[in-house]
Amino acid sequence: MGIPTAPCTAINVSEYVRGWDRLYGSGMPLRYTTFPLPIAGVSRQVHQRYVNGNDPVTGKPIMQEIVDALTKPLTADEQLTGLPEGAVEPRLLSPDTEENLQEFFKEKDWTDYLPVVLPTEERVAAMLKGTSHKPDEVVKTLMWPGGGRQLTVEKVAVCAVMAGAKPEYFPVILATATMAPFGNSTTSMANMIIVNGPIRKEIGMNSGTGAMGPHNRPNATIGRAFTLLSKSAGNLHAGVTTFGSLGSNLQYNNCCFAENEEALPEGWEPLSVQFGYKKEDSVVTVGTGWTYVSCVGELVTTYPPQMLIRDYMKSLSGMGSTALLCADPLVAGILYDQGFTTKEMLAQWLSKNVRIPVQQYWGNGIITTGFTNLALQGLEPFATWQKLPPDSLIEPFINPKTINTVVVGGQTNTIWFITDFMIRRGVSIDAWR
Amino acid sequence: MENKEVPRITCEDLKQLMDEGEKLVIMDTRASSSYREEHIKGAINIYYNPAGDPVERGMTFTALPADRPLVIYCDCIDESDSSIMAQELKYQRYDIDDVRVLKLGFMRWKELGYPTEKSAY
Repeated sequence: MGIPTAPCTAINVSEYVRGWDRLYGSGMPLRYTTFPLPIAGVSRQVHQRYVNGNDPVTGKPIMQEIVDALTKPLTADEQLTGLPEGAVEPRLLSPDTEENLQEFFKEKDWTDYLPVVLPTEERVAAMLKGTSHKPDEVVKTLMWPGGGRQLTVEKVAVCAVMAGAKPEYFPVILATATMAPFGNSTTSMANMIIVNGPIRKEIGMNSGTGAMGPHNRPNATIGRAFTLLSKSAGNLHAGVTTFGSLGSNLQYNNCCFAENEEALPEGWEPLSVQFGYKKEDSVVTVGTGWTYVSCVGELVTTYPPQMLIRDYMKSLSGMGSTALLCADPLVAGILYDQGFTTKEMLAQWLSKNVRIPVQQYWGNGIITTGFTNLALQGLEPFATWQKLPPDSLIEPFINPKTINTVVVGGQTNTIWFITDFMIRRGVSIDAWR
Repeated sequence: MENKEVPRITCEDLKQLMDEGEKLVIMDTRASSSYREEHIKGAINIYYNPAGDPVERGMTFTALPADRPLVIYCDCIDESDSSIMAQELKYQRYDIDDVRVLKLGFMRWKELGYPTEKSAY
């Protein structure tokens, strides 16, 4: 038995939390008491007035409501336990016109609000020819939010069709589906999809000029499919199950591109090879992050690229020591000439040379929220960093292994982006052929 | 990956490593209230909530150092929570190689009378 608890919430998310616990959490309705806003940035007297006042949802005195929540016996409805089964949509819809079905898909929030290719049985069957896997094979069971839902090969094919993909792209989409749904946080995160290996050429992915822009069908549709399956199979609906405050435009196609392996400097390995795969393996890597900072202009000879990369990395949160550099082959070549004969050497240099005041590090809420408890529990280096004077300089990118570089671009300018995308272990595409 | 495929370490072996001064990270996956009440000495707490957001857990995983062996424990049958956490962690943190689950978990640790502590956090 646990400790009797009466949950409280603020008015802005009151409706959400009441429904959330029932549908996605404990399965039972909890007795929430609601407080007015604002809570942050007001005096203790205002808080005291809230406590002495009424719940703005029920109109009852707040303290009485808390006492009732703790003392009144549970109703039959409140005695329900266990997570509900995830809601499943029918496999087939009734026939209708193209226009009506396009509108229906939008009403159901199954799209990104751009027109989709309607997933007819014939189109889905054609997509399924892109893999040897059976339609009913479960790619992944999605547990959150909303209870267990099985993401099958057929369901992934539905999203691939909707995104406008060709069957030959399907193994890549299935591999990305093992990492669905995409990042879902009030912090408005996004994802990045990077493809390595022979399949890049087989399906005509772009790793050169404009690779990160809207100029190539496989790049565009593989990335879009990840969004559509994250939203539909992942049950992510803004304001209901996902609350990214601003959202992120990058979620339209999740920065999907291929690494320009052919233009890597000698000694620089493809990202997938760094993760232990062979060059002949086709691999997709998915990262989750927020920030995407461009160098903006061409490099100048008086200030080598590693210095500006170092400077701009100071604007990243440093969470988890994670950074991902997307560099044009021209930039990679110049870095090589600067003495960075491997990607790892560059990572080690950046790890040692990016320094920020410790107050800046802890000044980011995602760090404070995520790591303060761990620091108080004694986990280093956070325990030490928390005790330092505010102006002390720290090296937040303490782990060079989580500073990655991927080479992409068409060598039309010496451009790079520094990002904070947290790259996860790559997934074999070949396993989904 | 099936749960049984996650490498295990016995309580006896973990205790020996601790006694030898091995630099380890020990992760308690139980609820914070259980952790605060009592946990393996030196352990940190990252709660495995089956209905929780794996992305949030993933963000917390980024705090873990890559240069030390990691031992994960829970108090459930077949070490299921800690095994799931180990799998998530291996997927999320490609740079951490040595991840093991404590065989028979916290209950066995207590049975053996090995050191525990309370925490305010």
